[in-house]
Amino acid sequence: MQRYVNIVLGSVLTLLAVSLLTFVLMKLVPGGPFDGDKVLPPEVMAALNKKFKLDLPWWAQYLDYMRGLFVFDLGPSIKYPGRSVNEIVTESFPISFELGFYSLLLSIGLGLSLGIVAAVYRGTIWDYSAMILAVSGVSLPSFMVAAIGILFFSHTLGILPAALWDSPAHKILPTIVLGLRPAAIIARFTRSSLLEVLSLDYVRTAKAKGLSQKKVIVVHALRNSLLPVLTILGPLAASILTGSFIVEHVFSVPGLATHYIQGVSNRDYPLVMGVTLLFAVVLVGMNLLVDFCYGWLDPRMKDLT
Amino acid sequence: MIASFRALKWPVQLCMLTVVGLGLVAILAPWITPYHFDSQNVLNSYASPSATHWFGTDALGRDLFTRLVYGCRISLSIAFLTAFTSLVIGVIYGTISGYVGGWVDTLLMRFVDILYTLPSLIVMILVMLIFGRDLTGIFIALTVTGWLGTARIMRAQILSWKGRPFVEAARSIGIPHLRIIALHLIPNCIAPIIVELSYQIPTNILAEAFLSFLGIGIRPPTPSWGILAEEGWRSLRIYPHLTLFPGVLIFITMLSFNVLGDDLRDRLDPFLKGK
Repeated sequence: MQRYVNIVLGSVLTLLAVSLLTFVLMKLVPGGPFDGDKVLPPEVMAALNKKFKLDLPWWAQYLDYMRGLFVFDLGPSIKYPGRSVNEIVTESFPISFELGFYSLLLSIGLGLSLGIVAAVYRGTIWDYSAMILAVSGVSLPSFMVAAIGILFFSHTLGILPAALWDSPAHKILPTIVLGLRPAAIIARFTRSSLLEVLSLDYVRTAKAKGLSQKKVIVVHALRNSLLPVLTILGPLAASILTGSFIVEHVFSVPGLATHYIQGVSNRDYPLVMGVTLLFAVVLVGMNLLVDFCYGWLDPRMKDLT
Repeated sequence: MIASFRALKWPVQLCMLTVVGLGLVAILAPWITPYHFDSQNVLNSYASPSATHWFGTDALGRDLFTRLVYGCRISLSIAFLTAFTSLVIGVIYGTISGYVGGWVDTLLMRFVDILYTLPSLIVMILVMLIFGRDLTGIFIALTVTGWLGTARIMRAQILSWKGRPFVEAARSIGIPHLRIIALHLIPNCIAPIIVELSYQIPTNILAEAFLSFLGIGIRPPTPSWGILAEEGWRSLRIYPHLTLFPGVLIFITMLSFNVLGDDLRDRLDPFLKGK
């Protein structure tokens, strides 16, 4: 139990540090939200700064922001007058989450199958093809996959829409583009993990007592080889998040990453803070989940409190 | 040297030749192509590939081949320079953390953990805007996020080596700490660090392309591969080659570095084999 308390406590501290770090970095960026093409009169500028509390010293602004955060108030958006960051986030988070979730499912499904095939048929043409696919998947920049997808499926064949996020058909291309790289990472990891387990004594015992190859792999080897794969789910979520910046940009998906980029270029401080914190919460949450699952799936971990 | 090159598998040989070739292109850029990367000719915009313009021209009539060649120079030098700098920072940081130990170690590693939690792209974007959208900016942005992995690996390495008898023996005959670190510890820890370096280079190439593609990387007209892809994207449906040529180049480069990295890891770090 102590172990779990420590992990949760550490995560909360990490999130606090992330908020402070992001705030400081964001304030260090030159320029402000009202530096538009037309120069505002000083009185208007002063009034605007006062309205969004930009006239306070930065630490006072930070404390004020954190006070709001305590009751889940992410503050008003500076660039979209009359809209709160809560509104923007509740609108775009489900979209990004859906995109990320589908991609994660796709990458786990595709990655595990490729990895298992490669390990089971080690040294054959299947192994080589799977691994060539995997190393290509890691090396392909996502805009390249997107370009090929758009040119082929929406331009030449005209069967899939090339942008936006409305019907299920809109979601196919972005999901594939986002999921390919994580799938390749999972495939490589699964292969090596399964190969390692297949060389262990207990697998040899299982083979020796006459179990079929299929049963040895599915019942005995696979379970243990999936444990290490679980540990990379955290970094994988981070990779999907990073990828979502390109994918949302390319397919004009109105998700979090799109808002983040707009927020940064508009110096919309509350929006940038809100989106960054949400990203951090998702990543930290993912790591927590992996930690808990690991303890649950591998009873040996319980002794290491 | 030739003998050991022959001993490699042919895909690895091919990738090594590709990397050397790209390096030569980057160094010899001005001698390879007769055009300047920013010489415009609006009358000849969007020309198809031909004998005078091998890969055609872009929206402003600039020769795409020339821009790709100079892009190679810029993308590769950013990737190498940042990978090397973050390696040095990571090695120093990780060595201090692992060798000193105690609360210093806890504090230093906590800091690394926190930076790890932030998605690196977010940090890169903010740092990029703080220092400006030029070569310095992207250098700092990629370095700030790049050293974390090396620091962690280095710390783990130092921890596993510093308790060995040969280090104790060195200390017992009065060799100063710095000398022990430089002559006895770092040489033993270097293999996984080199592997990390070989992965850091393609990561940096991709990160630079990502930032430029999103329109928050280096400013045009500096031709990095990411910028070329971004410029091409605007006319993707009509002139797909403007996006596909830079994309294919990034792909080939990344593939070569990744294959070389895998091979290097299998040789230098047998415990990680196949991971």
